[in-house]
Amino acid sequence: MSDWKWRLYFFIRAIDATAENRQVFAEIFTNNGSLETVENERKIADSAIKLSTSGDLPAQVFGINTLVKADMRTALQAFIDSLPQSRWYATANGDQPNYADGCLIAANDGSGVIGQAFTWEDALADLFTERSLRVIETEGT
Amino acid sequence: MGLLYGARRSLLKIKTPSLRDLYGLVGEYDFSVNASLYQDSALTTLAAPTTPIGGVVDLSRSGNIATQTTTAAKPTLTANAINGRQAASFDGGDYLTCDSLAASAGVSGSDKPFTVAAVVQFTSVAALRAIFSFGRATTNDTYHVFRITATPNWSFSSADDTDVGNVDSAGTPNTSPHIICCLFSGTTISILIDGITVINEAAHDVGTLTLDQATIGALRTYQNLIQLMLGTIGQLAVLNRRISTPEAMWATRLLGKKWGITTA
Repeated sequence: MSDWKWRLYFFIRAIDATAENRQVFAEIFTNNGSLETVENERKIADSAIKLSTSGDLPAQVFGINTLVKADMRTALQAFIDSLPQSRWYATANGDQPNYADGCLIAANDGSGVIGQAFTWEDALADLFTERSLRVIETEGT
Repeated sequence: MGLLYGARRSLLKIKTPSLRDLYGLVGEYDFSVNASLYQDSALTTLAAPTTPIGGVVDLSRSGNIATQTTTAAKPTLTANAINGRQAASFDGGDYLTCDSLAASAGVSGSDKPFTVAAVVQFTSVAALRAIFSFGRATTNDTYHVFRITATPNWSFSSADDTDVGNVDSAGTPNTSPHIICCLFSGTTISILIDGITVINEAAHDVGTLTLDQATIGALRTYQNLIQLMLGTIGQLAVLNRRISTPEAMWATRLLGKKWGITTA
């Protein structure tokens, strides 16, 4: 039985990925049993999926897809809620008594249908509907 | 009598073939082997299906452990991911680093050969997605990367300090599981997909490279971390030489039998 019972999709403005906020994210992970150091968890935005209102660089929003434990989830959701124009979606990552794997458990702003399958693509579709955000798909050389 | 029986069993014992039978294997990561997978980069807590993967033991016994130290960038161990076997799921923001592999594979210098073999299934083939890369920590975007392109094509790309060279296949990647072998001689590249050659000894001669990073599931070099994997990886092996085509066929069939993938 795993403690990592939730998968959290969340989206914050790129300008909110400050050193100070990364420190808060990192401490939430480390202090709630991630088994990694704060220094390492501070790199949370390094591989974030970049989104933009226009599809052109520079990216304006960071999307992060991560497994979380119970206390991490509570603390992360509260902190993300404190950031302007942010969104989060919590889904079941197996081991949930009342929700099938991948079903939506909670989301801010009432997005999605609780108990129904909700994927990263659904989160992106919701962002597109709500904020006209779309993924930059052509990154690289 | 007991001694004779034991001796006979020993004589008849048949060794199970594995990728470790290939000379020059310097990194092997098998996401179906629970005992080699850990939730954390310090290798203290074993992973299980639905947990993150933060550390992977190198089964080649070369000591090139693959790690990820940031929770949000860890792949997830997923049961029944590829034809009933568990594998590592990469969500487009996940990757594993194994930088010591660059030295073990001896890829720095001029015309240095290597081989990458992997069992891979993409979730989507609509963008650049790296399976494996060698990169450089400082100075410039120097790299070798084995990937798919947005076309989509199977692709091998390299860059030295001034030039980028790509070799793309006519074969088309899809979302089915595949066994891929990328054979780089130092000056030519061949790619076999499920035992079928999609790139055959294409010229690919780049300048002298300094490479000190190795990454599973992304192109990571200098200040770039891009083309992150979206899909699952079942097994991945790196050799410090360009294995022959018959060796590649042998490895392909071995992996095909294990992962339930039809091969040529």
